[in-house]
Amino acid sequence: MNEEEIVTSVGIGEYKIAHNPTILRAMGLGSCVGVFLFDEKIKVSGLAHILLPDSPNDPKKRSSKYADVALREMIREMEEEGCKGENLKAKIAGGAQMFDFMDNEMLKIGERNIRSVRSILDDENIPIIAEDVGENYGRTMEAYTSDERVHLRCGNNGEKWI
Amino acid sequence: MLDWKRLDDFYIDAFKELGNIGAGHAGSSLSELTGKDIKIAVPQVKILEIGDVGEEVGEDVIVAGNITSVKDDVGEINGYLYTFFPEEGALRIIDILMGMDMGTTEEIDEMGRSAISEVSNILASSFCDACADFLDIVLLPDPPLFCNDMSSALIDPILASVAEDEEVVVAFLTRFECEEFGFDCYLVFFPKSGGLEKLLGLLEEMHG
Repeated sequence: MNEEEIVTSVGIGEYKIAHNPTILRAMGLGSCVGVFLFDEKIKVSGLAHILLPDSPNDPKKRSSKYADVALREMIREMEEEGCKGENLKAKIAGGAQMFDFMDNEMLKIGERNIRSVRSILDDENIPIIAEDVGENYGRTMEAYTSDERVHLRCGNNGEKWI
Repeated sequence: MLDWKRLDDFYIDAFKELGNIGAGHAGSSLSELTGKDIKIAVPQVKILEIGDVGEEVGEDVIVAGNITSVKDDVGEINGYLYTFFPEEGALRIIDILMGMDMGTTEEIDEMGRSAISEVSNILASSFCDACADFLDIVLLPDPPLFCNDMSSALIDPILASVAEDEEVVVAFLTRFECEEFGFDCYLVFFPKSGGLEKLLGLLEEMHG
């Protein structure tokens, strides 16, 4: 790797947009989903660290913890930066089921997050060109904005590029 | 929603006292179980925003431990108790419980999982006992679930379950010390549905 190793951390419930070569990092995704969106043409990209699926129907609870709010706001900001909707592509990771037995709501949260992310991206006509989702282990996701490669470090389960 | 920034020293001291009672219970149970003199230090108490728990532990640190859902007998206070050890400490716990030389265990097998769950169980029940002594509430733990992964990844599903109505957690950081080895231990209480507010109310009522 000879990119500039500037790392921008994207915490739970946040999203960050980058214009310059950097590494957008979402640490320890469990049931959370990391959504990396990029426009190869103008090299603007963004990473969202999503905690929950669709937001409740209550404006006071509107927050980027929720998939719909985070993704729609991130896409809008990226478009303000000059991205074209039709050029956006996505890579997603996370949404694991961390525990075998939990009450239903918690058991399914990873899966619900993934489903919600897929349906929003589908709505927005953004193709998912690579993914590593589900299973039962955590992942640290690093998106290299210079060439849109995504590195995943999977706790006790090795590492990979998508 | 609770304004957690109003949590001043009174509450921190009260939680510390609660943690101290719990640590005392846990230390004697563990010493009894292992036949070794195990001391648990007076815990540090931190009130953390839920998103910062991973960072507190070190987000990429592999930990092993357990998650237990707890609730009181009248259904007012409930939440999750998360007890865990950085992996090296977890391996030494297995050595201690299995009566092996320190440094023997290199990975966590089925037997190791039960050893860790046993210790987590002791910690969780000690916390519940301390709540009974100190706050006069009966907290009942569910059977614990074992976990072994990145600390921040394990917290995700709990955060997802509490994040809609709580913003902070109460973290107790302590250290196990026995003759041959010492290691860090974390016990984090994630209150749910206004549980923290009720807990603080009790602290005021009983000890204010």
